Amino acid sequence: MDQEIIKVEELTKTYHVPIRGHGLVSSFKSLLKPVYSDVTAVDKVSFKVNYGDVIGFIGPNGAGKTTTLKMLSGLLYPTSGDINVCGFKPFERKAEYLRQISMIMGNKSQLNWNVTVLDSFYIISEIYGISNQHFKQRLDELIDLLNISELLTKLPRNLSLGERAKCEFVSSLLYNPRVLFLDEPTLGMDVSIQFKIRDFIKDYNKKYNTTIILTSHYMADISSLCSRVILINKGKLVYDGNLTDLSNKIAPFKLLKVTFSGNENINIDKEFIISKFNASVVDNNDQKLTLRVKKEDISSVTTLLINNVQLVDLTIEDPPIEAVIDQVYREGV
Amino acid sequence: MNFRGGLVLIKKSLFGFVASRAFFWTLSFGWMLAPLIYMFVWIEASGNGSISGYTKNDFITYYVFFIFVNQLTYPTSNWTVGDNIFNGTFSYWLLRPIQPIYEAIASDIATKVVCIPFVAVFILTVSIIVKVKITLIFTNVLIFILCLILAQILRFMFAYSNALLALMTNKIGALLSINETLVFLLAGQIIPTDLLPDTIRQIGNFLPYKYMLGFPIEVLLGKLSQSQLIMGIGIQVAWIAGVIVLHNFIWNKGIKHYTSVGG
Repeated sequence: MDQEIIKVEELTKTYHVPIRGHGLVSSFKSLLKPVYSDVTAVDKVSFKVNYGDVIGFIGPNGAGKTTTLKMLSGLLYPTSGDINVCGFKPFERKAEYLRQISMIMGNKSQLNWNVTVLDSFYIISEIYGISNQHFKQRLDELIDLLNISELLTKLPRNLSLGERAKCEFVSSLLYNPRVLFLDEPTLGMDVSIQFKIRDFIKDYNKKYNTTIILTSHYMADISSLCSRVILINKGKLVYDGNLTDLSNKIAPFKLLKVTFSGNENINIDKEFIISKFNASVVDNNDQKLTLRVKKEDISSVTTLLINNVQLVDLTIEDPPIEAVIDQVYREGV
Repeated sequence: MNFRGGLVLIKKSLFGFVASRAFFWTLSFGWMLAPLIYMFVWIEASGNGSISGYTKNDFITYYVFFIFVNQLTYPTSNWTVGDNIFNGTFSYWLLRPIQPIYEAIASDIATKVVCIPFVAVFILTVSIIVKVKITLIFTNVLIFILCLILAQILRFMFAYSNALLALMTNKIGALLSINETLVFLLAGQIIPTDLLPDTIRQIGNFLPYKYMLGFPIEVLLGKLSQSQLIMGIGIQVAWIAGVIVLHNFIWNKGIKHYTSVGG
């Protein structure tokens, strides 16, 4: 279904922030005559999201990702531009709109720490006006998906970070929102919990076709979940498309890793390979060699190696996505 | 209106507050201590005579009711609202399909419910110790209940609207403290408002503070003429209307300024 659920046009957010110089004199000056500066956190960003898509919103710290997410959820007023989510203007914060969205902020908890997890869920169901039958049915489904039945009678303050994250997901999804905003949902979690959360998000999206916009600094979150990424830097949208296409565009090479038998490594003419194929040596020791080779040359280099030296192992890998993104952050697209 | 949501927020606050009842009882003990001390000061000062028509028993009665009215009207959630805006947790209140004021009202109601047993025992004990003699007129009691409800609304809305200024200024603790000081000085805590120096009393008659505390007690004790009573209720209602307009203005303006810090 290609129906648009989010439409953002020329979205801009400017913060009016106080600034002052160093030292006591500047401090006193600012007391009498405060000086302000306008900081544009989001600068004329436009994009569209289709119903059921999982979009990765990426960018370096301070790029404007969270500010955009907060404008989409209605927490922040845009300075200019248009936003339409589920047919509503989010900043009007109409109850009908708020019933259709949910937001999880990885660094904050929306559970009430003084009541049990089950009571927290009950409170959500009452605020959102969910019928008892629907609440029970929905809760059972989510408990089953996230395996949290033993946590229901505990206080959130006594849960581990991973357990709390699962409960945050349940409380955010109890009322079956159409759009889910995830702001670094796996922040600070161990690898095992990150895997579980990713699997859950993937399964949930498949099952309920919920539109998900995700920000994360963990590229594993993005690469395993998102069909499309929106890259934002210094408030400006710099890329909107497939992650693989971005990788191909930024890093059109592969890593060729070979392990030699005996002393074969010293027998090959590395200089020849480097000059002929414009490759580069990433790592080199007695038994192993890692080369950075253009994608179009990979078969030629592989054939050359197989035909000329005895190999124990040969692998061809894409460059780590972190390296690609780092390059984009530093040099642009 | 989301009554179902409002009701569950009261329940939620109660669940949490009941578990921390010792904290809330200590808190309310602190609120009751100051008027209790002022009562003993005025008992001592009046001796066997009277001060501007207030006898020893008048002061005792006044302060016993003051403790009761203060407990019922004391707003607690404004401090929490200010903190939540400052640290960004207010965002979660904004993401739900229920106005954030419900959270504040629920918290205030729950605090009062949790404190009731302790406050009742405290007031009863004080009344026995100071041998209070109370004579009340039924009509005054009825009008007192009306003025008490109006005082509760006025005091809560005034404090809550002040707290919402944090949407624009971030830190609001200082302003809330000034508000508490003005309540302390002008609402009848250190001295019944009709015993204040003339100029201050005249000014105080048109400020909201007297109508948050002292006025309902003066109504109950029959200290006011009919014209003073009608004018007082009129001023109470006018201030409530004014504060609601102020609240709406601050909310509409402030929510556009809210920066939702954190994350």
